[in-house]
Amino acid sequence: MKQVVQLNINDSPYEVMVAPNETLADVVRRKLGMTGTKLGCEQGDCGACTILIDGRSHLSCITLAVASEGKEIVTIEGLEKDGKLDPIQQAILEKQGVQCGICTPGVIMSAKGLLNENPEPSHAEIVVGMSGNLCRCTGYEKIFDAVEAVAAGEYDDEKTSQAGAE
Amino acid sequence: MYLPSFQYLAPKDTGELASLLSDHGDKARILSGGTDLLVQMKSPGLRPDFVIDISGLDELSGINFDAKTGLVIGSAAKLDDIMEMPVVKEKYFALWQSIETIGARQIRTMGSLGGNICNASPAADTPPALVALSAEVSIAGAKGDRVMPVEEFIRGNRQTALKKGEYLKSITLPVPEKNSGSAYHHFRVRGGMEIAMVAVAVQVVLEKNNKTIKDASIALGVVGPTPIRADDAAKILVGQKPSEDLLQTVSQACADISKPIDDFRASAEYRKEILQVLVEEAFDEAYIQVAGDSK
Ligand SMILES: Cc1cc2nc3c(=O)[nH]c(=O)nc-3n(C[C@H](O)[C@H](O)[C@H](O)COP(=O)(O)OP(=O)(O)OC[C@H]3O[C@@H](n4cnc5c(N)ncnc54)[C@H](O)[C@@H]3O)c2cc1C
Ligand code: FES
Ligand code: FES
Repeated sequence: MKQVVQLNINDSPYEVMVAPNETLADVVRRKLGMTGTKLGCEQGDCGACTILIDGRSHLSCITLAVASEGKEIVTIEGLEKDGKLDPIQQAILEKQGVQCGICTPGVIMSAKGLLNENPEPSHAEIVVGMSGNLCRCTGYEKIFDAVEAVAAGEYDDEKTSQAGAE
Repeated sequence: MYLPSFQYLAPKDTGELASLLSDHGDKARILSGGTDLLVQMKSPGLRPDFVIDISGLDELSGINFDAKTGLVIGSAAKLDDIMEMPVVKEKYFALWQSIETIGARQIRTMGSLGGNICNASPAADTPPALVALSAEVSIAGAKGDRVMPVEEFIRGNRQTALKKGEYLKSITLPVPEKNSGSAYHHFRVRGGMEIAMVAVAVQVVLEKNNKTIKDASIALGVVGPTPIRADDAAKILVGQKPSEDLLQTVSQACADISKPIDDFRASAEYRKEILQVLVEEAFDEAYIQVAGDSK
């Protein structure tokens, strides 16, 4: 039995007809055409489908769309603002944390969630905090470097310009 | 990978939850974080007609500590939120450690303590810690509430004491006695994202001003279909000061009552060996928390 669900994704409201057994990943990808969110294992193991719900990293392959009403959902498509990449996106690019790219949206959303919870993680906290995201290409170190760089403020324009203004 | 069809129900409060459960009985499944349920429904087998979502129920999501009654954790409270309560790390360290080891960050954000217990996997991480900390569960249903120790609640592989129409309401951990410490140690071949092969939780209470053991409890995990409360082994510790011989006797007693399986991951014999090491390690860590140094 399908029902209309109101979803708030990347600060925009969406009204979608969904069946109870549709996951948030499927709705976002197939019904809303936002294919940035990837599916790998579809059972919680790989992290490719990671999105933010109310600021924290969730696995959209094991989240029901009907259960996501009234929550603030952010997908990879929601990070770029006014043509400018989010610091973590920029860092992943520059530190070469991308190769084939299938894990990348999940890695980035997971890093966002980690930094929301812990803005200055240690290297060890980054390694543990990113352990839910599998990557078969990069060997992880470059991903960790990118998260570390963002945590250290290297990609924080505002901070730099504020510091400059003082 | 698609989920089978079902009807989704989101009760507004526990009263509505109880009536939905009594209406739909065995045809319904409770959905909390979904990290076990939805994964299981994606593979052939589990096909509930109704999925009842309790994740929005504030009544089941609280985590409250009271210096008299102890720590009461709502069954739908998220693993991450429990870990973040300072009192959990301070007074219930074994529980904190058992949660820290679960899955990855996303799983702890989504998954609940009630889900970890009700799923009743022999390899679940929190049950041994809860058993060693003498936790009790409150079960609610149309006929009223019942309370029982965690080791009685978990009946077998994927079996609990829940009867038709009942749900798990909360988990209560008593206030640990003064001078007590606890620890959870587990063995996995890889670091994370993998289930434990053997697990042990220990709580010790020491006499005031001296290092004699006043009381102890030991729980063994993954070496049987349910966590085993090793009371006879723990009793050997009472009234003693720790020594290598004493701990060897205790860990041997634990190995003797364990019933590990033989499988492709490890032989039963190997699991028993590891179990003994874990008993000693977990004891040491719990003991040091109180005594300040090793034996
Ligand atoms: C990738 C991955 C890694 C994992 N790693 C670990 C690990 O390292 N250690 C570990 O122990 N577990 C692990 N798990 C299993 C799982 O995440 C945990 O068991 C989690 O605590 C389940 O909680 P949940 O809220 O998601 O439960 P759900 O999936 O929502 O529910 C689990 C079961 O309990 C029932 N249930 C839930 N709440 C209640 C209630 N209040 N009353 C009655 N029945 C109820 C449900 O009907 C269902 O049968 C992992 C899972 C995944 C996908
Ligand atoms: S696709 Fe969701 S965790 Fe792998
Ligand atoms: S870049 Fe290929 S899997 Fe990570």
